[in-house]
Amino acid sequence: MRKKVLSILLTAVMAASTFTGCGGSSGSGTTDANGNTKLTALFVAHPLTADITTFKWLQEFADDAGVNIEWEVIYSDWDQTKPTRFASGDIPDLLFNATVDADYITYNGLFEDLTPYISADTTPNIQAMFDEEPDTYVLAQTPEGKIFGLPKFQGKWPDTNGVLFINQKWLDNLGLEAPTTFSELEKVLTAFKNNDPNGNGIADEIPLDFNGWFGAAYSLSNLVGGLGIQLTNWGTDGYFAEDGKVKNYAVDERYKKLMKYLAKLYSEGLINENAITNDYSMFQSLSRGNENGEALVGVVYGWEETDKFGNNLADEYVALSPLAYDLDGETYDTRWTYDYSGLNMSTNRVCMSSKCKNKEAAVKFMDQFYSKEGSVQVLFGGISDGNVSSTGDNSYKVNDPQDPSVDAGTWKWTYSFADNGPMYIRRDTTIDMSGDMDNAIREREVYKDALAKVTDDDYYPQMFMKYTEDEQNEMAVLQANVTNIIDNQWGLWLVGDEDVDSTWDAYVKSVEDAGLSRILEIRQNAFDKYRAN
Amino acid sequence: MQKSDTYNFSKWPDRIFAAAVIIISVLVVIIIAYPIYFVVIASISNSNLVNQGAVTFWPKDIRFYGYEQILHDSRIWTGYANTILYVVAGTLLNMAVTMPAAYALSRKDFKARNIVMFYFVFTMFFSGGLVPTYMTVSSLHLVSTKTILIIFVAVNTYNLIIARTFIANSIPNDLYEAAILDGCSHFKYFFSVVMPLSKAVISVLTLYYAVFHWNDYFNALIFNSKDENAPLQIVLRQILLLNQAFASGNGGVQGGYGQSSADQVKYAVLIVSTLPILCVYPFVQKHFEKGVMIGAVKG
Amino acid sequence: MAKIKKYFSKTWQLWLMLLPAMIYIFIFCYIPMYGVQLAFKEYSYAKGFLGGDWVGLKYFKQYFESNMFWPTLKNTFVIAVTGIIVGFPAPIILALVINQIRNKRWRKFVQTIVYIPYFISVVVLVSMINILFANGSGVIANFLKALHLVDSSVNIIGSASTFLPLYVLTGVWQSMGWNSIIFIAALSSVDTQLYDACKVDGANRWQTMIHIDLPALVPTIMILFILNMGGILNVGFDKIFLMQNSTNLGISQVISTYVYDVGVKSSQFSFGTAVGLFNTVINFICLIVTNWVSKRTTGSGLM
Repeated sequence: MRKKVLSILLTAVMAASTFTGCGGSSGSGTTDANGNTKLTALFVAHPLTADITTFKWLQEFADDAGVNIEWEVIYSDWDQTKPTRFASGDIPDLLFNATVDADYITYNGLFEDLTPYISADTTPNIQAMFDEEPDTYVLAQTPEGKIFGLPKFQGKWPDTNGVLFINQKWLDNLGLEAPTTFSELEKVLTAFKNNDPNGNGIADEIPLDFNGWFGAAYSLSNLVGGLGIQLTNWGTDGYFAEDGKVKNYAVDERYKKLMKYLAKLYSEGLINENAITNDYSMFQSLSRGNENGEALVGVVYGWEETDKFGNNLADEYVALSPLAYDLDGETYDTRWTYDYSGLNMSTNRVCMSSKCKNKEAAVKFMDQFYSKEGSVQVLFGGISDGNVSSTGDNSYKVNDPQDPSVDAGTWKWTYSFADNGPMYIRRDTTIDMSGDMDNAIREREVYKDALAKVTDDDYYPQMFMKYTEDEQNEMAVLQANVTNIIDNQWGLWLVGDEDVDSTWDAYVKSVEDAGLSRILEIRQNAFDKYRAN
Repeated sequence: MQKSDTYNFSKWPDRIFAAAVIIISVLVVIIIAYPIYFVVIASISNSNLVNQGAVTFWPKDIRFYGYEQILHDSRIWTGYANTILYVVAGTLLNMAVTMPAAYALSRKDFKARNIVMFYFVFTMFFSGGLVPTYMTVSSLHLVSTKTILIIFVAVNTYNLIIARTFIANSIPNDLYEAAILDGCSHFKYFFSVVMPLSKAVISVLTLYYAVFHWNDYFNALIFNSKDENAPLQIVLRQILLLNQAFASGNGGVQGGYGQSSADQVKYAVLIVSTLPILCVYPFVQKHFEKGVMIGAVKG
Repeated sequence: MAKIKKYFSKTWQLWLMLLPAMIYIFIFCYIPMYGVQLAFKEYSYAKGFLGGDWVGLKYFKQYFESNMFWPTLKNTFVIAVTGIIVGFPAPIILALVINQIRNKRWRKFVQTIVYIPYFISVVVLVSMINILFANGSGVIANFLKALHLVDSSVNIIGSASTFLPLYVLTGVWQSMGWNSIIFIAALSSVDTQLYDACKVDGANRWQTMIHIDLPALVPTIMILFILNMGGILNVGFDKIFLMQNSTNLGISQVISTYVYDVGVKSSQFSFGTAVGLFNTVINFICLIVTNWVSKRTTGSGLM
């Protein structure tokens, strides 16, 4: 495997090769018997996706654009095959969900700059997205102002990824109130641990569980919001903004306070001891309760109640309001992670080969994905396939799965491009979505007030920042070194292998030495530029 | 074992020795067998309970979702057929290329052997990487063909070294000298003396190569993009990912609804992909019996 | 000229036997080898692969001067050397033991069982480790703690002190049986006359094993040892990567995982290639040195 990684590296390096002549898109530049332009396309599909050539909505897009698409669908390990495909130049005309920003630099010349093809006349839908949601335009542009990959906007997803759930039934069984502060949380967790809230006579309760750390949606590090730190889009690698300054909470005094608090909870046996090593599947399993249908977890972050706890236990849990810090007399303005742009926008949904012989036709086909009705079908499935119904002007309903044994989420991923597709769901489009999405939105009501506090000074969406190639290269190496230290330390503190107070100063210094200040400098520069626009 | 009846068991050191052998072998079997047994019961138990550590000695909440998912997928039979083709044809080719080369390298009177050995060993360490290799394959018009998956690793240097070491150390040089006196050529000596006397190493290498072809996933991933050529491991990987999709990633992006059966597939895939190749072992094993070779020498 | 003719008249058959293997290696290994030079170049698509600027040892320097150089090198060595010390003798001992089992059926059974773990994929293996060694619920963890082999307060999968033994021993568990196959095969070629001679001398079974079986394995042992030393820095990426967590990162961050963190995650391909080449060179040196020592001491070696 090491060899494999190295060969992947080598491969990617070879991208710089001039041998881009071989391969290429065969069959493009001609028309089929019906006069439709022939194009080739590749889609990196979700593993659940069914045979996309049977999707009627997709065929309709092609018919409307007057093209005939020959599809290639990749179901697994695209990251490993991609470098060979790109380096050998063996790519089709259109690539859906197949590229990242770095590819346009590494394989410079392989992809077509789309800016000349996008206009209100030729691509009205894409242009509408750029006009109405200027963020998507910022997102799509390279620092030089080119556009290689088109973004998506799916508007209907909530403002935050994680909901902090608490088992209301356990609270009721023990006659407790829902905690509102850190110290109350500790009391509740202690009661959960000692007083057998699930009533089975065994101390099998896990008061507090988590998964991942920096940048993870279900990580306890998200509690830094209670100390006034505003995270945006999961706060990847610990970066956030405050008063217009980019900072990293991993070296912030408030993170130190949080770590001391969590280490105390851990030493009292209130945090799942296996959480550090559990993978996502194990994390999910624990919340689904034991074989007798008894809940095992007291407090945990999750996406949505039925997803997190299963249909049987979902009713026991409610969302917990943001917790305020009250441990040392100091008070902070409580915040909650704001993920709207991260959940609703992403770029590189589709891009075009520079060797495509019918660029106009290809662009026209792309634009189909961004139409009002088209976008809904990209996300939830086709109208003629029976998965979505039109319920009026600009209003749609997502139908129940045609196979009742399949849940709505799985159905969606099977018969549409789902979140991986290019789309522009208008803000004014009404969509009656499946029950789990309704739950997800309802549960997040309690975070509304905290989320309303976000200002331009502390909104730091990392995906909009533009860096030069040199800056990116420099940051990559420094960040790996920083990550190595901060990723190691939180675990040692949490489980009590090292004391927070006595090691803090040396830790901060080693993180600074590893290059954090230089990273912050580069990031600040990019943030200032972003804010100036 | 032929020598078993010739030992005197009344000697106490031998008794202790025999007891130690039994104890050690029993311990080894227990240590190795339990986790394997665990895979089997995990493949038919509720995945939530497996993940919580509730499944220890008996399967709980038995369900066969994992196997159903795998066996209901029509692609799996194409995968099996392709894999069997690659294993059989590939291994035959491997042996045909490896054994003569190993013999040549084992000849102490072959002066160039150290240089040639270096020629092989160097490639164990230095490689040009995937893209140059892909381009070479591509220029031979072998991408996405069954041929490339059969011929791509025609000889493995590691196996070549093992075969060479075996031939050099186990076949008495007297035999060669006698054969030369009889006017035997290298070819004749190789086919009539070396090959019959190398049954043990031939079986080991057959096993090594066959298992390599059986497990080969990466080459098929890189050099093939046609479904009809996909070997079993690729198909199983796709089925596995399809089911892991329920259980991985971030709720905001995709669901975790099928949790209670999700990980079953992981364990079931292991069993479905391993069982057939395990059946090869007994055929190989019988050539390890002591005396097979020496008998041949004497006869 | 005549000399060359004479040489080939004697050896052409041997060359012919080598030819298929040499041709294969030439086409699929030597022709693509021009890729190695990428570690010394600045990749620029615009200038083309062969036209990129030479940067010499820039990327090597970048690695040597980074604060991760010594930690990753040290961790890699510690893990690899422990792996060889514990893992290399295990299959030899196992082969000797299996060879001594008198009951044919039991011997076949043992042989078959021990090689099965080889087929378990790393992903499944690590899931099993996380389940079977979990704190509180893990069967094996609880068993070890009940026997006081491990202190009851230790979280086996979640602490730095247990990472190395856990990594190495599960590795032995997985590969011991598979690696013993070659030794069992080698033992099958021992001349039975030697056993008879030994019996006449009044040797017991232990002595027979030490004086006959073990020496018969020496050439195989030496060759495999040399090959193992040549892979000294190749510690399995997959397994370490999957077993890494916040508590053990200090000793589990090895060269390959670091290359992954910098190279793959952040698209620093040139850097990754250079570190990979460094790795290869160290391995190659280890192989050459071990080979040389082995030739001087035991007379067997690769080249």
